[in-house]
Amino acid sequence: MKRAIEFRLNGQAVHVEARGGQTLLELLRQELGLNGVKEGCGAGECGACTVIVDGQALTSCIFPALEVEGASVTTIEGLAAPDGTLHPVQEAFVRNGAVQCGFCTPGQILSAKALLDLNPHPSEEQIRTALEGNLCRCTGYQQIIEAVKAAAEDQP
Amino acid sequence: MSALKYVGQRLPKADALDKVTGRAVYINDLSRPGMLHGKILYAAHAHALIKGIDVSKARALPGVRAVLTGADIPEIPLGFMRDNRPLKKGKVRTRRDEVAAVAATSPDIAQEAIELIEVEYEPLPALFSPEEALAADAPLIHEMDAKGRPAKSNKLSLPWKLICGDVEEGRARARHVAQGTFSTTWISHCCLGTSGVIAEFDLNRNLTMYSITQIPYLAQNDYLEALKAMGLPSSQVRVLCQTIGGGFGSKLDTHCYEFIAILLARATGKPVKMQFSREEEFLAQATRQPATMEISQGCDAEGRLTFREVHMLLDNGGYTSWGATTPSVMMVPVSSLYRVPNVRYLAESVYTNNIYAQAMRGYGNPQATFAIESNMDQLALMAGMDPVEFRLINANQPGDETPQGFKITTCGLGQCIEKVRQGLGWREHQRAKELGANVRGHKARGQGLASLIHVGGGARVYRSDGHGMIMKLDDFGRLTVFTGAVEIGQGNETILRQVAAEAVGLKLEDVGIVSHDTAICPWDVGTHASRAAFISGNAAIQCAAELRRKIFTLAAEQLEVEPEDLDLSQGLLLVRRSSGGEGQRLAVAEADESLPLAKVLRKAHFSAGGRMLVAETFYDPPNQMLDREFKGNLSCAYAFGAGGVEVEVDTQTGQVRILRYLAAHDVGRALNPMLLEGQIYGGSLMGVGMALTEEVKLHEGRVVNGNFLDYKMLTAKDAVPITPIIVETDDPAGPYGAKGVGEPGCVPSAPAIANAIFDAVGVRIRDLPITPEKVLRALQQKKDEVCRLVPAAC
Amino acid sequence: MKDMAYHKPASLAEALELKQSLGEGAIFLAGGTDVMVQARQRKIAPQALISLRGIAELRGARLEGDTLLLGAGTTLSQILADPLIALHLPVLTDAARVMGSTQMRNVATVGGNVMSAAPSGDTLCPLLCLEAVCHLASAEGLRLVPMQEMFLGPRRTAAQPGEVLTHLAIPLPAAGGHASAGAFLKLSRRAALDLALINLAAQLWLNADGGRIEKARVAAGVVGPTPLRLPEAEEALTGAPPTAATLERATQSLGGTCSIRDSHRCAAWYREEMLRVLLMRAGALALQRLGVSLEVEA
Ligand SMILES: Cc1cc2nc3c(=O)[nH]c(=O)nc-3n(C[C@H](O)[C@H](O)[C@H](O)COP(=O)(O)OP(=O)(O)OC[C@H]3O[C@@H](n4cnc5c(N)ncnc54)[C@H](O)[C@@H]3O)c2cc1C
Ligand code: FES
Ligand code: FES
Repeated sequence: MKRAIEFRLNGQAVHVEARGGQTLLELLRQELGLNGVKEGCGAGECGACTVIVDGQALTSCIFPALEVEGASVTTIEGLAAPDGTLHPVQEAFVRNGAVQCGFCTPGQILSAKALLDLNPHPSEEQIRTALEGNLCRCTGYQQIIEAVKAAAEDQP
Repeated sequence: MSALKYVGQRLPKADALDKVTGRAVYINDLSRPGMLHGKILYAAHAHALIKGIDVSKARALPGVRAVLTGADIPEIPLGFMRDNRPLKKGKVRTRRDEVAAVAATSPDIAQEAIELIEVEYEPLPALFSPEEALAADAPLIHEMDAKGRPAKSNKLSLPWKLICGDVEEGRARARHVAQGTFSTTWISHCCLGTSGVIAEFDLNRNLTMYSITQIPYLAQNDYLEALKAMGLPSSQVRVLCQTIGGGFGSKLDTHCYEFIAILLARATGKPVKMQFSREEEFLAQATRQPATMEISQGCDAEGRLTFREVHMLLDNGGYTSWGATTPSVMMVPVSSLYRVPNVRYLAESVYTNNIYAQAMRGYGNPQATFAIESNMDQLALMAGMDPVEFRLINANQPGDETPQGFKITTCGLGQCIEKVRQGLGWREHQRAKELGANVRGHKARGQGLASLIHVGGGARVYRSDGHGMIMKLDDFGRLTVFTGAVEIGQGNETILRQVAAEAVGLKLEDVGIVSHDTAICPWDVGTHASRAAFISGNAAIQCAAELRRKIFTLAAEQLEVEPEDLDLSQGLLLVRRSSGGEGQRLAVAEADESLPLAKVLRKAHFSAGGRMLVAETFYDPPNQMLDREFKGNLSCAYAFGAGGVEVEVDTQTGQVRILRYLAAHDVGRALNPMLLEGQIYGGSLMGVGMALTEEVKLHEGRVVNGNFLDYKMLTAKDAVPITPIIVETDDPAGPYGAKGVGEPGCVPSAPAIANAIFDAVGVRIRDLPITPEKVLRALQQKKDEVCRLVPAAC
Repeated sequence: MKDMAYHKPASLAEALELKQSLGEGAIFLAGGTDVMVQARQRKIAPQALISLRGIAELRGARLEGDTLLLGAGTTLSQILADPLIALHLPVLTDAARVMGSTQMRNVATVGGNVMSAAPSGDTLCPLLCLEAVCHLASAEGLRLVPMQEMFLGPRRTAAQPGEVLTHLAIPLPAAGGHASAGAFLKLSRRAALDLALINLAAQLWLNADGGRIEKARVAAGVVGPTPLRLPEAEEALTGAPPTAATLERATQSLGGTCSIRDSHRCAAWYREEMLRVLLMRAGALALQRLGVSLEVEA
């Protein structure tokens, strides 16, 4: 069963058909070509597929596509400006060595962004909590946490 | 010599931009026009005869383009001992055996078809431990050995045996001898990006593999062999590596699924993609090699080691991948961690009906070091010595040649141990412990330390340890470096850019890297053994020298000076008109004249008989392949390090919390400290996971925790505070003095933690992972023991 | 995942009607963190999903007299952010804090946690201790089922197929005039993204002068097919002074009610031991929240 839905994706209105059994991850990757949303497990257990829906980070691999009707969705593709200027969190990830293989990176950045949007000056504990659902095999998390701290410090 | 511009800088990774914006293309993101999707049917038994396979229903499903079983494919032997086949014929030996494969127009249809395949099995008695497999009446898992002769037992004909000096003499001379049996288990690489490949034939039957291999050129050989077996002896193979979502050794072998993709692509004439799900990744991606290790070591009255003896029994699983060869690297610490004159090492691998193992960060070293360094603490205790002092007495020194024949050039082991001791506040802690001040309520604190040695200057595990490189200059003075190395996230391309810019004398932004394509880039043995920075760095220095020679010859003609009077720095040619300081590099200020390199290059290009500059090199380090006795100088340089931890043990729950973790590494030279720290953080936490939480659990050969909720990789909430300590020893063989550091981070973690737990609560956990159950059980046993001996104390 | 119909009713009445007309094959979905995973693993194969996410009346917490009405559709993140809950029901906040991950808590609901009825479900023990009452609505009307009667087995509840859990009615613990506090502890291998190896909640009430435990509620998870109240422990605590010795005695009373088993996640003997440790520590934490500080660290 397909249904036409409308929502805001990275600031733009989109109309798209989604299926009942489809996940938001599938909709974004397969129909909308947003390959920055990664699938690491498909079961809500790794955070690679994290996107922001109405200000909340969630794992798109277990979120029904049809639920975003009328919502505002942000993916990693929506963060940098069209001229390539990075979002402060992206910038901080680059500068702090928070990226290795990069597969977890889009999810980490979106979890961090959702945190900083709500809480511009989080404690380290709050940063760890925001990132606890984003597994990373490469970095040991330290430089990721430092990147989020650095991004927070750059905030007004 | 002018000061270094780029080497030693904390420069961000070249590929980070694509990765933080979601633009990097992983295999998971790639598709090809007309592409089909492949799926694999895995065995329903750990050991069974295949009596029949009915694929008719699967073939009839709309959208299915091909169904293959072992009966449909030619003989393509795979695995280190050539004991594996892409699809199994006649018999399955593990729960991960590939029994049939389907290509269809969508992954869902392929999956549905897989479920329509009916296989009739006749189960055989299955063997789930080496001990069972070695029993006299055990059924044979492989009927034939590697040479095609009838097998006599389940033991692999791979006798790993290293004998140095006279262990009996060392034992006789020892004042104290400690022994213990230790074990490690299956660990998954857990690359966040799951495995996949696309195989595509063109109309000339040439094959392109869109791949994520860490060994593009060795893989190319394996694929060519397969094509030969498929009746395509003149086909070419091109391997195009995609952005890799984590390596850690998981991509050092060619795997069954890759050959299945080739077979399906050939059968259908279409590109075929295999893409693992996470469940499949846990089931069918080979793991770290588990090991059971018996060790004894002895020391004299002064605490000097007199001998070390290690026997290992390895559960090989059903087939051989690189796991079967991990003893070759286990030997490194066994023979050469600390000065130990007499060494005996024996390892036996045994086929079982369990999953099998491959390379994983450290390649056997973390396993062996767990046994050695745990046992070192046991020995120190018997000798009544402080474990740190004990290690310092025995530490390797520069100029040593170890019993296995390793020539130690630079060695910062002593410094690493010292720095960790200081950082931990070891002496203060020991004093506090004497007063019982390390215990509060049911929480006890302890400190522990472990060292490491690893290859740091390549490792000749193949006939060539070489690396080919091409450097090409364009009209604008921009350099393209063509390298056979593979970026697996560690930052190799960034390091290479730094070294190339430095060595040639260009600006960083004028250096680009082209890699990941076997059709364009010259040969490299692979991204393994912590070798990428060392080998490709040296290749870049060698290639840069050649390029500079060509540049200076060209420019000398144009400028009418001698080549020796020229230098290149930051893209500027520096000219010395007055003679002097021969062969010395020029500083900009000392030059009489400078002009952009680009100008000289354009002039050469656009004059009659035009010329453009390309240099190429093949760097093969002067290390040795181990001889028949497993001796030789395996690497040009050896990396050392020490890990120190402070833990808090909850004596009611057995839980272990790591309060601090110091990771000191002798890296020769930090080419890029930020990326280096990334390797240390990541490696150390991987080691902590191995120590405390990670294990692939098998029940009768079946993985029972194949998901990220049940397989406990550590989260950001668990991540321990790690302090990297970088010791620079400036190795003469390394590029700008650097040694390899990709793997060492994870090597000392487990024994350091086990030693700290012992320090805290006096129990020694010998089997990884150190779960709270094991700690609590050991505490209870200790208490029972005390009560038995001193009833009054209870 | 197989294709399926998807409905997103805007009201409870509409949801119930849909369920009645679609029948067996239709299942409710709240956060979907359980439903979507089960469907992917093909443990369930629904023909239709009825999303409860559009129903405003299921969300949020409000006070009605001495009862806190917690909407079943309230997410765990909302529970964590709710000052009313933090003030009156810290035992529930404790549980929500250690569930899954931030991303999961942003969508997963307390109603979904109750209705999925996993033996490890982290809000279940707190709700048992708080003596919550489940409001189950169906086409036939409203049915009230006390928490203690909700769980019939692993993943089986007393709710009928057509019923929607609308609210959890939680009597405010301090309403009867006795000082009360609770605490929840979860033992798991990791600090986050993990299911409980065992979990335990305790809610304690003190008498007027604070010298005795007036009433006690203790419940534990993964110690049997469903989360269980532990009456032996409750009895041992009731009427006793709020001391470490009392807690100790309560831990010794444990045993009869539970049927702890070995699993690949954890050995039974360890769960048994930890049940005692958690009771001791959760009890001490609850007492600490009541201003009684014992020499027992968490
Ligand atoms: C990564 C991950 C981590 C997790 N960690 C934890 C954890 O730490 N602790 C824990 O307890 N659980 C955990 N879970 C399990 C699960 O997320 C929780 O049980 C969650 O609370 C379920 O809520 P939900 O709203 O997502 O439920 P849903 O998936 O929407 O529904 C679950 C079940 O309840 C039914 N249902 C939901 N709402 C209603 C209603 N109002 N009326 C009637 N029926 C209803 C559904 O039909 C379904 O059968 C985890 C899950 C994942 C994926
Ligand atoms: S892919 Fe969604 S959480 Fe792993
Ligand atoms: S950077 Fe590789 S998983 Fe995080």
